[in-house]
Amino acid sequence: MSLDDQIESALRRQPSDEPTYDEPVTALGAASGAVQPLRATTRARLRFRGRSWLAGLAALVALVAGIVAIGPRFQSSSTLVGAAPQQIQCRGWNDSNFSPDLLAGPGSAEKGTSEAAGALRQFVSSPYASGFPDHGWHLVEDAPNRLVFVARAQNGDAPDYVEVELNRGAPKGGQFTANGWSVGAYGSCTLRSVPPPGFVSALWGLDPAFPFTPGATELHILVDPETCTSGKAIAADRIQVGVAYVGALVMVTVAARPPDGAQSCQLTIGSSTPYVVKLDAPIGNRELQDGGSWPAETRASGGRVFVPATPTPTPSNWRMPTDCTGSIDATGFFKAASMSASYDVYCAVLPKGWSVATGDNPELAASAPLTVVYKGPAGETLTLEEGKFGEAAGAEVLRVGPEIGTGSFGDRTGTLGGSGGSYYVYTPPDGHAMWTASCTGMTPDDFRTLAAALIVVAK
Amino acid sequence: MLTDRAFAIGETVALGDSEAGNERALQLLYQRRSQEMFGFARRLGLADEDASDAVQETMLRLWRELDSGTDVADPDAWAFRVLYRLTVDNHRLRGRLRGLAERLRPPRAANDRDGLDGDPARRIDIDAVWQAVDGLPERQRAVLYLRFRADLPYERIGLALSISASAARGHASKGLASLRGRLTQEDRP
Repeated sequence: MSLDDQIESALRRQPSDEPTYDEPVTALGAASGAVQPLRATTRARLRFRGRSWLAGLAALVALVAGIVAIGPRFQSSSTLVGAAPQQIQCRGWNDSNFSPDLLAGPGSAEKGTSEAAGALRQFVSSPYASGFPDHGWHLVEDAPNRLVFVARAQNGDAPDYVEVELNRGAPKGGQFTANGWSVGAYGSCTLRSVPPPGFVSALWGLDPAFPFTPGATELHILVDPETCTSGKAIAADRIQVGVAYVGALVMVTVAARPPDGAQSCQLTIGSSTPYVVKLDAPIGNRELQDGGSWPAETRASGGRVFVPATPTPTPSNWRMPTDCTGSIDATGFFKAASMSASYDVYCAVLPKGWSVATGDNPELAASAPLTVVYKGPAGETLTLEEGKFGEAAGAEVLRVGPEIGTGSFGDRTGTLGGSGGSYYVYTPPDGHAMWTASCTGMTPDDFRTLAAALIVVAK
Repeated sequence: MLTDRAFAIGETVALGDSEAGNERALQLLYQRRSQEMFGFARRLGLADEDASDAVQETMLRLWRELDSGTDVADPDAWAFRVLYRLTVDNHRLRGRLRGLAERLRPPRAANDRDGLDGDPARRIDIDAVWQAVDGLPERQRAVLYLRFRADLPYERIGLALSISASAARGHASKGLASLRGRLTQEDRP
């Protein structure tokens, strides 16, 4: 690697003297008045006082936060939530609802001769829109001064869609402008059915604690609202469920009212709410779908729990997240990461005394490297990095310590290196992912053993 | 090839007119960028607490902008621009000098791993490069951080630092050349 490459590679990494920044941005809601800075004894913190919508802003130190209790199981036959999505939206973007019919067929809005179509073409070919597709765009909102385009992403990674908003006229900030149109929002678009006013979308899955019984009229599910909940399960009485029976299809759609007060958007783990849906009739052999996502996702079919089709049979090395070392939170963490990522997510099975120290947002594992740090009883550390990073992202990586042979990262073979108690093993890239384990305070044999015992979390 | 991290992370980044859009974008901006904003402020010389305050103040100013109805379509560049201005505020001169002095101490010995975060695959050489960055002029430091650590293209760096894209590219080029010289010099016996 040339010196230039080494410098650029180093500049992309976090220097060791830069502490991890985990300060929350504090938000207080449900009050009116001006925004005021709040300075604590030793340092400033911000106190947002304003409209209730800000209550959902990331917050860890919630001075007047509503504490969300985990409610009892709640039976409901509510139909407040639309069961079949007449309108969909990019998640959370409540003022841009549109019919899913608008996404039918191959999009070609970018081929138009209008000034807006020209602006779209220029934008998607600009540095701002790196990774956006250059064709296949659908016009889903067509107001005189505002257009919204949606296209299917083509990189093969979740999320599946991207969006671009064009506003007529000159921008107020420094955003992209062309042909009299300026770009507003742009980025990924996770399509959801539109929740009722005051609610957010929620996804659900069958509760594994209750075997699916096609003849029963109670459906046990776990609900995951798509909002910040400080890592806690949302109260059951904030959940609304709609059930539609359409021919051979039963579609269950769930929405949730966000918890009151400031909520943390940091690690959201182990936060599903158990819920019991009362059905008018047994599901039987009909197809059971989650109507919250679009397209709807099948949960059961033919009287059996539906397992999504995969290009290859389920790998034999898949293990349940409960096998991972760590608390129940860690179990949720790895499950969330595994479901989010397109690659295999590994976790460690470690001797007594080890625990999970830190982990990145598992929901972002599809697009950001997943990092998990374990700490041992004598201060040892074991760090796993997984996903699109390093060589898998086309970057050169500096590794400290000589390469000393081959080692295993779970069922993968990699390169072992290091010295003086600090060792690493990294695999060659597999598609857009690679895997690295590293340690401190361990012997090479101990590290080699622990790295080889890593397991793949089932999706 | 560098990619737009705002897109790579998979979420909408621009701030729309809707309240939900604003909330979502604020959340995502903080999730995606707070570490880099903090590091950026430190790299420009702020002590840890001042850097943390600057990040918080930047978020507060962004919220105020949105609350007043202003469109902020490139929040990453906007945030780094505000942060940059905060860090060059004369009132923070003392803190900046203190923070910089702390980082200009002699480097650790190669076998001194105390205080590292335990990943032997990414340290020491990386730190030497960053230590050399600390000796560069402020504008070069800022551009190198935004280009490589924050993964911003030069067009957006220009927006953040209120300079042209070509000027940003020039600062990066000069900064890299200086780093090459300094690191090569350090390697000599």
